Amino acid sequence: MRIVKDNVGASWEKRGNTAWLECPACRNWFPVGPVMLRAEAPAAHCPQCHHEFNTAAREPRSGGE
Amino acid sequence: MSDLHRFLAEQATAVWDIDAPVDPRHELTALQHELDRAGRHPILLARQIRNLRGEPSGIPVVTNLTASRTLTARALGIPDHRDTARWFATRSRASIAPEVIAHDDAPVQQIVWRGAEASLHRLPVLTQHSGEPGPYLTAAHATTFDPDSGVDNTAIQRCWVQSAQRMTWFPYPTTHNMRNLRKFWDRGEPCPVAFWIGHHPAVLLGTQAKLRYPESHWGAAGGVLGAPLRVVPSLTHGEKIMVPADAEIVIEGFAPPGVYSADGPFGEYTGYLGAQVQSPVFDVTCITMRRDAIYHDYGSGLTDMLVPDNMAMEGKVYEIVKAVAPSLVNVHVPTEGRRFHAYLQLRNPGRGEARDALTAALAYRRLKTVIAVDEDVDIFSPEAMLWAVATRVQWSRDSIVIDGLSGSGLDPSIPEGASTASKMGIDATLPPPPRPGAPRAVPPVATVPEAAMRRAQALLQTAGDTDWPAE
Repeated sequence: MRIVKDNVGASWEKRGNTAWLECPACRNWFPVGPVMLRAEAPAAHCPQCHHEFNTAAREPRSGGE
Repeated sequence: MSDLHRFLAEQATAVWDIDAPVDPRHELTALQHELDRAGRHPILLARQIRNLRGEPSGIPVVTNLTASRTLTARALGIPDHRDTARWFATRSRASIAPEVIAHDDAPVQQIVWRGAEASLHRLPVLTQHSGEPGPYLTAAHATTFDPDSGVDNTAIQRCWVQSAQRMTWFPYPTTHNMRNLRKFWDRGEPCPVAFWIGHHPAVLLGTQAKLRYPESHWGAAGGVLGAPLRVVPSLTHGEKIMVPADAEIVIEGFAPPGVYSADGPFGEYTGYLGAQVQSPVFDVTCITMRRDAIYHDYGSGLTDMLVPDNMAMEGKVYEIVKAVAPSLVNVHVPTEGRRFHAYLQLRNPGRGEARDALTAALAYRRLKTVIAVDEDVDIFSPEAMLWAVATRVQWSRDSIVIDGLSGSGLDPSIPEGASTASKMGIDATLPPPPRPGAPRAVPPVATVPEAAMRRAQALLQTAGDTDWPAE
């Protein structure tokens, strides 16, 4: 599973607000809100293959994959 | 008595009864996108459609019901849709108490599915956009009650059908339904809920009125309808949760305490796919419906959903702004601005009044950009609005930027982690006359004499059908 977030840089730089997750089963990328990356979040659900997987233990990588 | 069937019969010429099979996955929504692009807004009725079991659905689907402002205004009894703001501000406050009727007299309880029969898969629920995990109820009005006061609340909230008897339910964290749910959950109890689907557009708009907490929406719906809304006790929750007796379908059940599921991505009113979030889940106890039930779907992020919500917003913004700017004459929340833009029309505002109006309107949570213009500018014409902005604004003098106001978390441009938004007001009014009765100290608008305009219109009518370029 991979996570992409755009959260590093100066305050005056324009950046996105949405994290993306890659489904470990089918490699589909889909957008998730911050709540889905918290420790107490329910399992993420791939909208393509319906695989459920836990995201909480993973630290997102910033600015790219 | 008003219901969806009567409205469709009254507006028969505006209904496209599609005489072809339509796939509930994406196809009806694609049709709505095409119609929006073409600026055409018929009501769509699909009879040749399958349910979630893949069987022919005995229940047809209606969508695009409220994509037309003209038709939606007509449903409310407003002859000209441009008069919605004042009309809505008055009527939604003129509360009319609901009328409680017996189970046997309630069309929505003519058919009752219980136990294993109460399957969501028997409904023709649509999957709208690419990237969504499955079928969503988009016109389900979640009805809950405050366990402290017993007062009910109803609001449209999306539900992803996950299995035959379980779906997610997404009450936005700031909503009254979420407050009710939390009260039940804090007691360790499941939250009772009933979702009603399908009704006359006047009822759909009436239940969207913004009210204090706790306050029932049935009175406001009656005010908009101009008659008491007929309600009936739900079968699972009794008188604690009433449902509209003339609705099409009701889904009853409970949200078990502390149980969340992933929900989304889902196509939002912004036109973007909202990110996956967590939502409570809901377990079905029974489904009731009319014998001739029609399943209602709102095209999320399309004019179908923007038009009614924006019309209701116009009433609320009018009420807020009128309190501080008596020169306000009209409000338009244009669908091209989603729910983020509002146009205010003022009649001879005094010095400072346009800016008072702008700041008052910006306090409305969803609004992000508000433009004030004079009465000579048509606030329903994007061209006229841009003309006013182009010719009546000096940015350093006439724009106001305010940071840290409440905003929508669904705004794709809001910085990550921010819980407030940056907003802008634009004063595109002309300066007032230097003294009463004097002309404004600005160049006059270029016009031609009225008689010449009438002659031009008459000449154009003689041209008949032409192949002249549109652009």
